Amino acid sequence: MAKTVSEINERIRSGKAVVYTAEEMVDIVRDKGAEKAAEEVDVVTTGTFGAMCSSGAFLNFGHSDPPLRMTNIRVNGVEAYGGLAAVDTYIGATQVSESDRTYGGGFVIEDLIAGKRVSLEAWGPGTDCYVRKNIKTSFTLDEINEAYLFNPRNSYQNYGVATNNSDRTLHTYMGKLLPRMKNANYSSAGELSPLLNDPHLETIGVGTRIFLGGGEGFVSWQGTQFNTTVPERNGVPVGGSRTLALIGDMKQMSHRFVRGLDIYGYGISLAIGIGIPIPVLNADIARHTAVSDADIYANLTDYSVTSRSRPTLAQYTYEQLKSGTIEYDGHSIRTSPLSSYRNARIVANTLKDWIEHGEFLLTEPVKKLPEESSVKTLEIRE
Amino acid sequence: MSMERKYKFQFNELEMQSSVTYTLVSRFDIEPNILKAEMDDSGGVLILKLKGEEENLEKAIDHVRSLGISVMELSKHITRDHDRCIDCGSCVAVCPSKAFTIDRESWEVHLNFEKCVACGSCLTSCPTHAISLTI
Repeated sequence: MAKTVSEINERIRSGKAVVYTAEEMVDIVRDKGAEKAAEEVDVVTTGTFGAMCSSGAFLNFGHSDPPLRMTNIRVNGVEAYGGLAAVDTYIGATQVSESDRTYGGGFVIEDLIAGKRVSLEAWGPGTDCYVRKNIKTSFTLDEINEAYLFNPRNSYQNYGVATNNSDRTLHTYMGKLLPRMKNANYSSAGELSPLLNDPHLETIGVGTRIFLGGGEGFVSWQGTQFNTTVPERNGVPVGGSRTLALIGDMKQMSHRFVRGLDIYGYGISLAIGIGIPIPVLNADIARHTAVSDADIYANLTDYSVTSRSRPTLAQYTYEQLKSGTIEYDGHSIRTSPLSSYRNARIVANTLKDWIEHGEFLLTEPVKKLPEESSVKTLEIRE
Repeated sequence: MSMERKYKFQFNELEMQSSVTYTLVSRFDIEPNILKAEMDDSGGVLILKLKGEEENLEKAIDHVRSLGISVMELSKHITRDHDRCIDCGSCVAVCPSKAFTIDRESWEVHLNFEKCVACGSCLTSCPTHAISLTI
C-alpha cells in the first residue's frame, strides 16, 4: 500500500510517525521484508559528517555610517569575495588565511557558528554614494543581517578509496597516504550516507528539507559535478556520482556539526553534518533504504598517479573497508575512515528525534534533479 | 618492583660510540626494547621501552645521563583534545604502533598511551588540530 508525504506528515504532527535510521532499517527489511517494512515505517533518516570542500557562507554585514562599498574583504584575516553588492560577501571554506596556513574559511565559519567574535577589515574605492574607503571592526553572527551556508557540492553519493603506491608519503585531500600502500582512506558513511539510501533520487529533489549543520536546511539544486553515469552494483553507484547543492541558516546551526578542517599538505576545508529524511512511500523505497555496507562497493585508486583518471586497483564493500583492513595483491592494507561515522549516527538520530517529536516535517521535491547528467572535463587549448 | 617505562634518548655525534643498550643489560639487568632508532651524522634519537626493577631503572637512567645523553621519559606525550576531535579516524591507519584504534561498535577513536611511541605520524593526519606532541 503506497503512502503519500502528506499522510506521513499527518502522522508526524500527531506524534505517531514510525522513524528509523538507515542503519536500523537494514535489519527491519531483512526480518520483515520490504512490503511489510513499507507499511510499518514512515521515515528513514540518514546522516553523514565529513569534509565538504565545496561549501561556503553568504554574509551581509549591514552598513556602517558613512557606508562603504566593500570590494576587498578580510574576515579574521581570510579573504572573502568582494564582487557582490556593498556589504554582501561569500566566504569559501577552502580560502586560506594570509597569515596562518592552518586557518581559513572553514574555521571562520565554525568560529561564527560557535558565537565567537571575528575581525572584519574591508576596503573600497570610495564613491559618491559610498564615501568611506576602509573599515576595521569586528562582529559576531548575531550582530550581522543574513548568514547562510550555500554549498555548491555536498553529500557525495559514494566516493573512492585512496591509497599510495609510490615511495614517499602523500598528503592529499583524502588524508595522509603512507608509501607502498600501507594504508587506504575512504570517506563515505556507507549504509548511513544520504544519497546511497535513495540511489536514483526518487524522494530527494529541489526544496527537500534536511538537517544541515544542526539546523534546518534545504536542497537548493543538484550539486556540481552531478553524475548519473557511474556503474552500479546492487543498485548503488560504485563511485562518486550524484551530489547536492545545499542551503541553510547559519544562525540555527551548531559548531558541533560544522567544523573547520586543516588537511595537512592540501589546505583548509569544512566538515558538515548532513542528514536527509527519506519518506517510505512504497516497498521499493523501503528496499533502497535497507542497503547495507555489504552491498555498497567503492573503488580503490592509487593517488600517486597524478593524472585526472586514476585506474581502479580493486573494489571493496564498506563492510570490508570498515573492518579496518583490506587485502590487495596478497598483502593487507590498513584502512581509515575520513568522515566521522560516530557523528553521522548522531546526525541521523537527531533528525529521527526531531521527526518523532513532530518538530520536523517532510517535503515533496519542488523539482526533480536530473535523471541523466555526466561530468565534462576541461580541455587545455592554446 | 619490576616495571616498564618508555624513554627518548637524544645523542649528539660525540656520544654515538657508547654501547648504551648493552650497558643497560649487563650492568643494570634491564630488558630494553628499541621502538625507534634514527641516526645521522649529527647524532640521533632512540625511543625505547625499558623493563626492570624500579631501583635499577633509576640508576640506569642516571648512568645514561652521565654519558651526556639527554633522556626524557615518555608518558602521555601525545595529547588529544576531546573538544576538537570529531572521531573521524584519520589517525588510525597511519599510526605504526596501533595506539589509535576505532571501537567498531561506537565508532569512537581511542588512544592507548601504552602503545604510543611518540613518532608524531598522527600529527599530520589530524585535520582538526586535536592532537599535539609535547616533546
